Amino acid sequence: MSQEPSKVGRRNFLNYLVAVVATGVVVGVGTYLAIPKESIEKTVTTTVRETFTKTVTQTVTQTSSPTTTITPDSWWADASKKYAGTTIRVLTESVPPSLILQKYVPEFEKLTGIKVEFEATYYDDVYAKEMADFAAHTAIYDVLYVEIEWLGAYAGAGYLFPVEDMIKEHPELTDPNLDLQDFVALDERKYKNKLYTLPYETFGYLYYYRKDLFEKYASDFKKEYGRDLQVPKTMEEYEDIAKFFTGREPNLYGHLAQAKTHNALVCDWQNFHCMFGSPDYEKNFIDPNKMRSSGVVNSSWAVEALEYYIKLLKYAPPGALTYTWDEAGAAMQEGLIAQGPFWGDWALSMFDPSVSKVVDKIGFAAFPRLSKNPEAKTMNGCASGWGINADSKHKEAAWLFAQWTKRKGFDAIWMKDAGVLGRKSSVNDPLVQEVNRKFGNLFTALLDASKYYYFPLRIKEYSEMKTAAEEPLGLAVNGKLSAKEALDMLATRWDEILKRSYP
Amino acid sequence: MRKSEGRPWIWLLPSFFLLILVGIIPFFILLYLSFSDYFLLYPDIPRVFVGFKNFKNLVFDPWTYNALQTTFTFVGIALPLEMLIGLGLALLFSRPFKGITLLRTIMLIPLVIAPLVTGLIWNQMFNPDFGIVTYLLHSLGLFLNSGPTIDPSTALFSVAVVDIWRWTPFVMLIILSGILALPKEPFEAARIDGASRWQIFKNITLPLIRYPLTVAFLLRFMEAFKIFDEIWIITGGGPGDATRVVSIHNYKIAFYRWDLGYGSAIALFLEYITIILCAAFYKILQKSE
Repeated sequence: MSQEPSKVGRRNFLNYLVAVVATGVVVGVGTYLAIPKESIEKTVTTTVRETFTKTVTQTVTQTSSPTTTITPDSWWADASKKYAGTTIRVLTESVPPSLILQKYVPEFEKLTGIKVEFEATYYDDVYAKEMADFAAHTAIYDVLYVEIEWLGAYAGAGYLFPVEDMIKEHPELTDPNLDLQDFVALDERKYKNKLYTLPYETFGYLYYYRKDLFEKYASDFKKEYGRDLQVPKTMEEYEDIAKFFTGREPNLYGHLAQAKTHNALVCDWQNFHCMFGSPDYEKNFIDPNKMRSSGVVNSSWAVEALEYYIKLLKYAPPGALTYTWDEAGAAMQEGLIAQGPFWGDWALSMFDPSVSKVVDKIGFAAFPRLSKNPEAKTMNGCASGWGINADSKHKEAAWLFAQWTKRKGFDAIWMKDAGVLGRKSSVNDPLVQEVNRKFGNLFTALLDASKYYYFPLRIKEYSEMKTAAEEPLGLAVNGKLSAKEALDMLATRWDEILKRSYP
Repeated sequence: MRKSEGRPWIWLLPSFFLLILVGIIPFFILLYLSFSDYFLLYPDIPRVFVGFKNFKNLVFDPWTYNALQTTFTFVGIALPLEMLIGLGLALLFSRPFKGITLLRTIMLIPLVIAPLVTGLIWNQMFNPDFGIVTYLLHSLGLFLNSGPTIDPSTALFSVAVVDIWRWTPFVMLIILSGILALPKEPFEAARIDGASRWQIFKNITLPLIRYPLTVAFLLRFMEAFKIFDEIWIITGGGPGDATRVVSIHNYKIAFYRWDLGYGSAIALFLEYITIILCAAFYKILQKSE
């Protein structure tokens, strides 16, 4: 499903450049006349090349799209004057997007005088620390990484100060070019139609495959299966490829799974569950009329889906039963996997020679679908956001920091290193497009895959429901329960949770 | 006599204050929570007194029952082996030989490694795809296409091996200190009377080191019964529920599902069962004297 980027000739390029400059001049003059003089000083319209100096890593040249309006540093400095000297604490997950962002934090501190204590830790720990902070009302953290599956619980419990309220109450602290509609999957950050978090990163599962192995074994595959070895469009094709590659070389497997009794297993299972279910994915988990799961998650198609998930495990490394995303990512980097579904935020790490043995060998695409159910969603989407702790005493400084990390112009610089989606306008940025070309069409695949993303339910019970699913599924993949028995147990557990809120 | 020496309780105050702060107060909070419905995820659900509801759930919860069974199996594997190997090593190190100091120091290394790090090290060694333990087992023709920690029938034994590796030096240290403090006369007299080594060990050494043995047994029992770190890192309680010991079960209830009422009830139950079993063991050992 990957697309070749269109080529632009020199003549066309010059034409575009002239058009861009002319448009910029017109927009600039228009803006100058339309906006009061003092606010013009705060806004810079980028019609020409703008050079950003990355104080920590390197200097890069970035061309923003002609219509991108970037808030100048002076605005951030002015807005934060009142809060200079304040210390805020940020808690996030220690994955590449956050670790890359961390490098830029000193720039914010220098610009605003707000001190930032940036803490990145592993996924489960983020959740535990945030919950402990909320429960004790200690307000240790001001800016919080809010994973979409926690949003319902946090917002439902009143643990977050809604971003929407912050915008209303503090227009003077809100980036004039915040442009919320520019964020990918904005609605996924809403709870009961209210925006609670500022979109931080959006990604989801992708289909990872080894380009080198696909080339190397193209003729062998054709001999055996009578068709070309290419990125599978259907699960039937996927299964053939999985079977073909498993054992083809020592320690080579045709499928990747994260089947430890852990949240990772639930994410993996949900892909297959939704693959067999309705394209209206929320109905695959709960009957909206009864607000119960029985008869839905344990229906015959659901049992078939779990059985299929378990069946494919024979093509995955034996260790897959102990894998979460960390081990699965390491297996991919080690070169054990020829193809498989995996989280997109790990994509760029496959090109890092310090951790990966498959540099330049990986390609990405959307995950295949069942030929009998082509419209179904097949990939778990992750839409996390920056939340502001409702107990925080530094909400304003926290809000400034959150916006600064997602400001126009910078987002593309971050995105090209982070390998996840931020703003829609950043996708076409030359920097991002260059990374796309260089690294297996990653962003094209992400956008393509996003059509088949499903997102966690935004109900306050979801977080508990997901945890309660770990054990039944764990027992099923380890052969202690049949798929039907496991799903019956899961349905009973989910109903018990739902009963509390919907008696 | 100086004035301050007449008021020893003043010197006890800091420890007493600390004990109240980290021991007594949390215990009463735990007690209160165990009789309440308290879900951290749903602060809108009122925190109400529910009597023995959480304890009733505990009795009828098959997961708790399974976790207890797994815990007893784990203790049943790890504790006797730790005691036996620890005793053997203590006897070995009680006689001087060349390099004893170096060997003794090496033996103590597992003890000074943090449990979390121990878990991480063994997790890598047991890794089913590239772990050294799995590799060695594969080369012996064992666990092909599998691994000791991913096979539900061997996972618990595998984590018990880690516990034995980590805690045997501790048992050895306690028993060794007991052996080195023994008087020499009974041994000399026994040798003069022509007693064999086995007779000396059975009739003199063993009875004389019964106190360090009891201390080591009770301490290890209490620790093994609430094991968490290593298992959490290596298997997370899996595969399936094969290594889901009661501490992991408790953690999942309290800090994954945030059901603090039920989680507190399990913690309290765990506390009491440990105390009761330790008291029972102590009585049995006292009687056998």
